[in-house]
This record gives sequence, structure tokens and C-alpha cells, in this order.
Amino acid sequence: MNRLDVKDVEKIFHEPDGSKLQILSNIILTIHEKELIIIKGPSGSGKTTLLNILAGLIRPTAGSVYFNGIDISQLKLKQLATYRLNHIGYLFQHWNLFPFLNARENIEIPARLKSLTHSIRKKKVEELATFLGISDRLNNRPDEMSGGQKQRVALARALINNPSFLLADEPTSNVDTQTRTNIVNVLQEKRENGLGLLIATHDPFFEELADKVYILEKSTLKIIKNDSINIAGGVKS
Amino acid sequence: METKVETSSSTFMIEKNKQSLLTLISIAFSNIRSRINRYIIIIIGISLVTILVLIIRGYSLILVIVENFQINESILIYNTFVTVICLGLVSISVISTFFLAITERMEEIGLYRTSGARSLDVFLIFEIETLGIGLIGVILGYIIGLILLLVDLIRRWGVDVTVGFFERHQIEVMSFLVTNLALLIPFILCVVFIASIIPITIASRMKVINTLELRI
Repeated sequence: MNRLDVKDVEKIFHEPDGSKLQILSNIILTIHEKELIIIKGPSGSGKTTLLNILAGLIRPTAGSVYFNGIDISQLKLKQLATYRLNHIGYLFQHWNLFPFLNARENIEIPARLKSLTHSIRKKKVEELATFLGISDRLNNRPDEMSGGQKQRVALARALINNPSFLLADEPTSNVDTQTRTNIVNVLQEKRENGLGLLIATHDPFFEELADKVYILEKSTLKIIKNDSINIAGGVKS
Repeated sequence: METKVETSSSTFMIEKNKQSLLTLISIAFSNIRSRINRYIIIIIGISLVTILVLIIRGYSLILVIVENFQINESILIYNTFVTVICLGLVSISVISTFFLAITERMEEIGLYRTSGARSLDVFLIFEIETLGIGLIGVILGYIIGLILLLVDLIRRWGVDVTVGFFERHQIEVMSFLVTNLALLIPFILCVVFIASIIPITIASRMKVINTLELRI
């Protein structure tokens, strides 16, 4: 059973004027597969920083993050790249698509880096595109797509390598209601197949479905909802 | 390949992925295809240098064969001087284009890294892309240069004399075609590689977080 454990994580940024900015303090959090965890908090509270630490994009100042017992804070850059390639899908708030590549090529990038064959990539891209309702946009570049379509392309890219965990930063903040429903449904289905989700969002849609809801305030994490039962034997969905 | 990481309770594994060179080449060529309009100026520049070098060398050969001309030291120095100037111009344009392109593509680099690419993979993708552009430029310049040489010879001598010249000097002409291709491709690719290595190395080693400018 895949799990991510955050143990006593602290993150301090050093400002250009020499002062220190404490973003995260004594963060303790566990995410299991099939679990949906929501992190709320005001803008600038450190939600994205926490996601970046879990993705291995930045290292914590203190504390550790364990993936299936491996301390990823101690991994070398090469190993972190492999960890991201095989186990983490990252969905950015502002899509961050490759501007000169079309939707198909954008979605394919992680699968190409994993050296999947052309036929497997094609099959996966088409499955995800159908699932997300963007089959007719696969040959379009990002500047030819709406915000909702770009977000779904970014989601397909994050999911193409079947990651163990999806880290999503406000995935539904820039999309219409129909796209939001579509994204939530896709994530729910992936979750039933074993995907663990950590989402930084204020969307009440996600809150209702979440196993746990945390609030990140004044650099500390407080739980405000816990619907999980008997983690070892399965998670309530 | 797998790396075993021992923990206090049990042994876990993180699989190691080694991206094949073929994968990185295919990504690099997708990038060239999708950004060809951005690279057109640099391709034209490399082509022009190739054409110039080819024409100088072509006429030197014709002078030697037809007029029994002896290439002296001053002509050799002149030829070398022109070639060095041309290659210098290529280097400057490659460096400036790539510094600009890399600044523009920081986010792209961050996205590759977030998607699981190592800094070496990013370095290779960008370097293959640069070499690909160099190769397109040199091959294009080579073909255009030969066509220009041929057209000029026909204009000066007429078709019959030109065909007769090629028939009489088949060995020299074949040797000219092969040696120039064998010299120009590696030479220009070396210049392009050396000119692009600094901006690409700097960019591929940047922290992911700095390339994506992710907020707190």
C-alpha cells in the first residue's frame, strides 16, 4: 500500500534583506492510496510550498517526507527525478503547458521520459483524452484552447504515467462548472483505482468528497474533518 | 535497474529510469518541428556560412583543375580567414539566440524536470535540438551551395562543357563532394555545440522551483 508521510516538516525561506520567513512549522501528515486529502488556507499560507516539498521540488529546512518508508528529503537529484517520474503527478494551478507543443505532445511528455513506446503512449493519450472530453483538441496548441481545456490537458499529463499520488494546486479554480464536474469525476475514478490525492483547494465540491480536510494557517496544519476509517483495511470513499 | 534503500523496518525500492537516447532525440525533434519559425534565422545563418565556404572551396578546385592554378600561401591564409570569420559569426548568433531562447524557455525546463527528467536529460534534449538545427542548416547550405556552383558553371561554360568537365574529372568532383560534406558537418556541429554548451548547462542545472516561479 503506497503512502506518503510528512514528519515534523519545517520550511524557512531566507529573504533578500537577510530576514527569515517561516512558511511551514512542524507539519505532520499522512496520505494513503485511495485517500483524498484537502488542504485549505489563505493565500500565501504555504500550501504550494507543502506540495513542492512532497513532489521533491524543494527540500524542507527540517523534518522528512517518506514515500513508502524512503526518506525523499535525502534522495539525490537523479533519484528525485525518478521518484517524480514514476510516482508523482503534479497539477499546477495555471496549467503550465509547453506553449509550442500541441495537447497530444504535452500529455505525452512524461510518458516519453518514461520511454513508453509510441503505441502505448497513443493508447494512453486517447484513453485519457476521451475520459476528460478533450479528444477533439489533441492537435491544438495551448493558445488555441480555453482555460478548462488547458486544465484538462494538464491533468491528463499529470495522470499519464499512472502516478501513486496526485498533487494538485487549486485544480478547479479557473474552470467552469461543467469542467469542474468532469475533473472531479475523473479524479474520483482514478482514486478508486488506487490514486492518492492531495489537493490544495477551497472548492466545496472536493471538501464533501474528502477523507480529511486540513487548514494551513500561521504555518501550522490543523485537521478540520476526518472521515477516514480503518486505514489499514481500506479507506472509506 | 533498481536501487535498494534500507530503512529500519524493511527494504523498499525506487526504480531507476534511464531515458534512452532515442527518447530524448524524439523529444528534441518534436521541439524543433514545433519551434521551426523561431529557429529560421539561425538555420539561414548556418546555411549561408556553408554556402560561402563551399563556393570558396569549389572555385579553388576549379582554378586548380582548369587553369592549373597553384594555390599559394596567401590564398590559403585568405580562405582560412574567411572561414574563421564565418564560423565566428555562427558562434555569436548561436550563443545569443540560445541565451534568449533559454530565458524564454525556463518554464519549459522546469516542466521537464517536474515531469521526471533529470538535469542531464534536459541538457541532452536542448543540445540535441541545437545540433539538429545545425545539421538542418549545414545540409540545406550544402545543397544550395552545390546548386549555385552548378548553375554558375553552366552560365559560364554552357551545359556541354560543364557536363564534359564533370565526366573528365569524376574522381576530383566526387572527392570534393565527399570531403566537403565530411569536413563541414562535424566542423559546424562542433562550433554549434561549443557555442550552445554554456547557456544550456546553466539552464539545465537551475533549481526547478526557480524555473517555474511557483508562489508560496
